Amino acid sequence: MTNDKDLLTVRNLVVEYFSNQRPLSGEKLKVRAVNDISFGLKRGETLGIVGESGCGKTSTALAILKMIDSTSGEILFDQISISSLNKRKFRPLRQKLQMIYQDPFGALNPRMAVRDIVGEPLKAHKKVRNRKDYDSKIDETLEIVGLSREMGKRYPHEFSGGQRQRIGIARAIILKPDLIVCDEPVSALDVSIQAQIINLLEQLQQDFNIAYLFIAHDLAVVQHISHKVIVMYLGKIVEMASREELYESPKHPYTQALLSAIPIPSPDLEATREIKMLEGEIPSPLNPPSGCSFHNRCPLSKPECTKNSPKTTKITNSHSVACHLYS
Amino acid sequence: MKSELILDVQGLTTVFRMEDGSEIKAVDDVSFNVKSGETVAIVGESGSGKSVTAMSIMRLIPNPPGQIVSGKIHFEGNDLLSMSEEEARAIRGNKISMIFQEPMTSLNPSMTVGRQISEPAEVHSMITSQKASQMSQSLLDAVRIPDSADRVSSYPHEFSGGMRQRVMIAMGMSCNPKLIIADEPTTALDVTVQAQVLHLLKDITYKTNASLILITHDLGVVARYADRVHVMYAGKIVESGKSRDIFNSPQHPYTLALMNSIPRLSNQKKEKLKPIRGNPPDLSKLPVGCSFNPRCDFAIKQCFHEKPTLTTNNRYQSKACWATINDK
Repeated sequence: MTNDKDLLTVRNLVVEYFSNQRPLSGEKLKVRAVNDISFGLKRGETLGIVGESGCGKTSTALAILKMIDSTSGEILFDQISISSLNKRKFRPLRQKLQMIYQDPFGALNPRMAVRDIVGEPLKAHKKVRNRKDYDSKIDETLEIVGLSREMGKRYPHEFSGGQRQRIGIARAIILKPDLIVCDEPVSALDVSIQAQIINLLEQLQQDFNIAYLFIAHDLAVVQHISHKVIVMYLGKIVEMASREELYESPKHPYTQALLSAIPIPSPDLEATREIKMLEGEIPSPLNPPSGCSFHNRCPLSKPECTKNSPKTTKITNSHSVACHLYS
Repeated sequence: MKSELILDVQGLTTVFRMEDGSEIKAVDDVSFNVKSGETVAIVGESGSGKSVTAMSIMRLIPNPPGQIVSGKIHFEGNDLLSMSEEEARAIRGNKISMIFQEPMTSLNPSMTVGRQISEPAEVHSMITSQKASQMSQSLLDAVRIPDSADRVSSYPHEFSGGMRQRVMIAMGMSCNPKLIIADEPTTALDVTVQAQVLHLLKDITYKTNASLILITHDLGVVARYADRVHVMYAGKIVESGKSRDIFNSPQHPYTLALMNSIPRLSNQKKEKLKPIRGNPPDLSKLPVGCSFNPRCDFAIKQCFHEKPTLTTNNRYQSKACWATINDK
């Protein structure tokens, strides 16, 4: 599904972590957090990544931002292979590639005034000539995210969760990025505030043609904001589809179970819904099951699933699934 | 429904004293009841008072800074609040048990899972220590943890998050409680595990005919599991009724706004969400009149100077609101 016009292309990305040496045997344990994944993302588009803990969604994001090293594979940003760049060469690209964090409390320096938090990228990338330029850029950005100039003088602890997330967004957009990686940007917020932030992100996308890599475990939020969705399980992409296809006709048993596990806020719908309950829990990535890593929880597992890892099959041009039921 | 009342909370008010000497009402004149065998959900956002309500029922409010200043909590006919600490202790963990949010921190890391499960029963002298391990094992079976015979002697760190929450449920069940209070029991868990744990909880309460108070912020969970719902905002119940009625025709502007602001899996069309404007309430500076008035789309004059009280507007559904909703 990758093509030349993608803003971001990920090819066969693998991310491995090594644990500390075991005291007696001296062996090092290896965890494959991201196991051979490929996808593309176009300008101005939102790609949702969903999955449960340990599925590799955050590792994928961090590898794209070069905040962790990828073990193998290739990441192209705007046609430039960034995986092989060193820090100095990557730096100019980094302005176009920003991140919004999950925890609006931990992501802001408590000792900096909000203006300086928002303006820091301008300084770091030497984007302003003088104080006036710096101030006007900050004021403009604060206004875009719905904060007043007055608020800029205050400190993070004076703000509510939703406002802090706006500050984080302001910092991410001040350099006019092409891509923002959003790692669970609303999951720490109160329900009544989530919609404000989601609407703001959508507005920014329309106004500035920003692409989002939107990581979340909440399938309803992902459905709302994404154009394309990837479902990950234990480091692999199990299904990838357009938003409509994924939610209307999910193919992979894991996607189906994930969708059915989420209760819909309507007692009438819930009463008639067939719920596919999964057995067991996510296996340890230290010791993933053989073959298809989902086979031990899969209600439709066949003997073949325990032996071979499934290949990705195309269902339509914009829908693919990695499952033996479809190969 | 002609079942008996098991819990009847009347006019519960719990305050916390702040460092500067001021007081905030975390729970403000809350009344509700729970019938035997039913599941009642208390929904609200952070600071709405849902957890403090639960802690007040358990008499676990740390004093100071907190204090239950008024109200009655009748459990099986006896007022929990006028009991001595000793009498309350005989009920807590025995006839009323609580399941906490954090399965990672609510278990003792240096005690085997089996010991922890049977501890409440031993404390309440329901069983001898010889029988305890046997009981723990059958409770582990009941919460569907495989290899229960081996697992009773495991320690919490050997268990995953979902299994720890199952252990918490087993602990809560050990004295055959009449009432279980589950405070955000699945918030820390993954989606598929969350569904398993909630199903288990519902199943177990159904089998033992225990009542369940489910405290949550997740409207989907409420819709799937609760018979009745109380919606809390800034320390008060603003709307209560049967789940079906509340979801199908919310009467309070806050409930309606909450329902409109969440993305739903069932909405296939891409519509813009309608957020609730403003910020969650700050309990130390609540507005005069209705606490929701700065964020309300339907507020009328009265809302800005007079506090609304919870009134029943038809047989089952009640709301604390002066205004009428005219949904466009």
